[in-house]
Amino acid sequence: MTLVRVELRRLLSRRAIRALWLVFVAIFLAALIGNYVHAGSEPLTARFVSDGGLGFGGAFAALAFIIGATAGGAEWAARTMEALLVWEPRRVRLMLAKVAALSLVIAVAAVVVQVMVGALARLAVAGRGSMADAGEHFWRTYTGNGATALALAVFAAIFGFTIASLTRNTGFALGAGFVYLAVIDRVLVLLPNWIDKFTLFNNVAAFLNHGADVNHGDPVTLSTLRAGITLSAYIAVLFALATTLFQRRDVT
Amino acid sequence: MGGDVVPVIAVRGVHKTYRRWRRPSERAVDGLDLEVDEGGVFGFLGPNGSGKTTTIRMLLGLVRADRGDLSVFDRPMPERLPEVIGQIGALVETPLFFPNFSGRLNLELLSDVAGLPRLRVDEALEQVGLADRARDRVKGYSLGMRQRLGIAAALLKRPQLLILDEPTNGLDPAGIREIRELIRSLGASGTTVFLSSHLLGEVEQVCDRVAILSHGRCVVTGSVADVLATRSTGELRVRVGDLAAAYDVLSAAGFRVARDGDTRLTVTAVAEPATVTATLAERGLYVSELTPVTVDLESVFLGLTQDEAADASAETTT
Repeated sequence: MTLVRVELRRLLSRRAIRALWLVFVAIFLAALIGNYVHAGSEPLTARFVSDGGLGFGGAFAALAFIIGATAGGAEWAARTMEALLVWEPRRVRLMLAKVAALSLVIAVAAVVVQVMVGALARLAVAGRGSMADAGEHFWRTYTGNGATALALAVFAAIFGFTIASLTRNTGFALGAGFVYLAVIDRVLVLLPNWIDKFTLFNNVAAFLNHGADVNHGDPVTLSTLRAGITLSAYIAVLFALATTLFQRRDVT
Repeated sequence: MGGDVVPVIAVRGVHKTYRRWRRPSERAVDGLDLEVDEGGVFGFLGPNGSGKTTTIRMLLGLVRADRGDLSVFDRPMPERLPEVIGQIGALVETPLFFPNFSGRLNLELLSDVAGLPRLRVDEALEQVGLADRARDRVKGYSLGMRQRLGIAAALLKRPQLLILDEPTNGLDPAGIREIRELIRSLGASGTTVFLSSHLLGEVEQVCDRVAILSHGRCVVTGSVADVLATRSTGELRVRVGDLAAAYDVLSAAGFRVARDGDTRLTVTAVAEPATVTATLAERGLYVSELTPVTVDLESVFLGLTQDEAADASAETTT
């Protein structure tokens, strides 16, 4: 627990993470205003509130990936990992503490983002529309969407962290994320149909949108549960690999 | 108990070769044997690339040995390092800190890992003379200040074993002197200080014992006096009124004598300096100066490491 507390303090003291937050809040406000304006003169409904969080879920997951990558890579860039290991030589424990602290920060931030989005969307609806259609499922949908976005953000952060830990480099992790989404995922879609069920992009889309049809070849529906399990399996494998290598490799 | 003294550090037959992709392998440590007893200051010397830092990294569990055994406080490393890490303070090469954090925050984060009280951070900062700049960001620190902060981090745990790798890097002469005094006082107070340094004059002043490494092997180890004695030539400088007469007398008595300018003679391979005085006095020649020519650690170091380099080169050729 002490280690997690120390890692939390280290993470929250970092200027890069504070700066990323500011950038995200600016983008968030701009997007919200843009969305409101884009809706034109049509009256807004309760759905504007319950679905609002989902839209930001994807963007927040991207931010979480960057924060995860910088959390994993900065220790290697500043070579402070070496100093830290002279204080805590149990590497697996250290790795788990770092991931726990990162997950906690991202989860709390995701809740804050969801509440902010919900509150601002509610204000927008109050100004131009009505919550009259908010049925008994409103809160379940709203919290369900929020929880999905939160889980995706935590997944993304751990992804970024493990790739940066594997390569001991933030830039490599960010580059790998970009290359995967821009090139590899698109190439994978051209391969045999069964691969569609396993691509990262399809699973993220299915997870965030509560299921999605993979339309290449024979349509297959990926459920939220199945997408969540697939994403969890990817993270577990990557994290196990990163931890094993961290345990075995020299720190020079 | 049998009264056996267990060394604080024991290294036996340790080998380490770095294997890097698309680059030739680099043998850093080649069958190193070393023992460091409790208390005092132990100098760990060797030219660049002789394996000093790799050995320190292996002792701290940062690098894994290919073969051989290492132990600290009688615990095998790195397997049982967690049991003794609380008693070890270390500064390895350049101090490593987050540049955008203050010196104090960097130390607090480390001390929190070990659950140390905040007071220790203040004490350590005070000890290295950095209390006034503790709230400044590390990126604004000079090299010497970073070095002081690194030493403060190593002192935080009040360690029983303090491993310092080039602690005076970047320090000005006053800073070097302060750190020298600090190391000396720590060694005298019972802390075992394992000091790796290139400043042989400094090492000679503060260390009780030394080991000299070359090509990953220990070429000599022992007390500073013993190590200096390995290269002692038994050379004396003699000043006497009648230089020519003294030269003749000593030569006739079988001494190897040479003129050293117009005022002194140099007598070599003398086992007992008093025999020179007695020989001259018997002929009415009275010595006004008799100085043993001492070797310093630097000349011993250079002599030993050059011999080792020549041997290694000869082995490669044959």
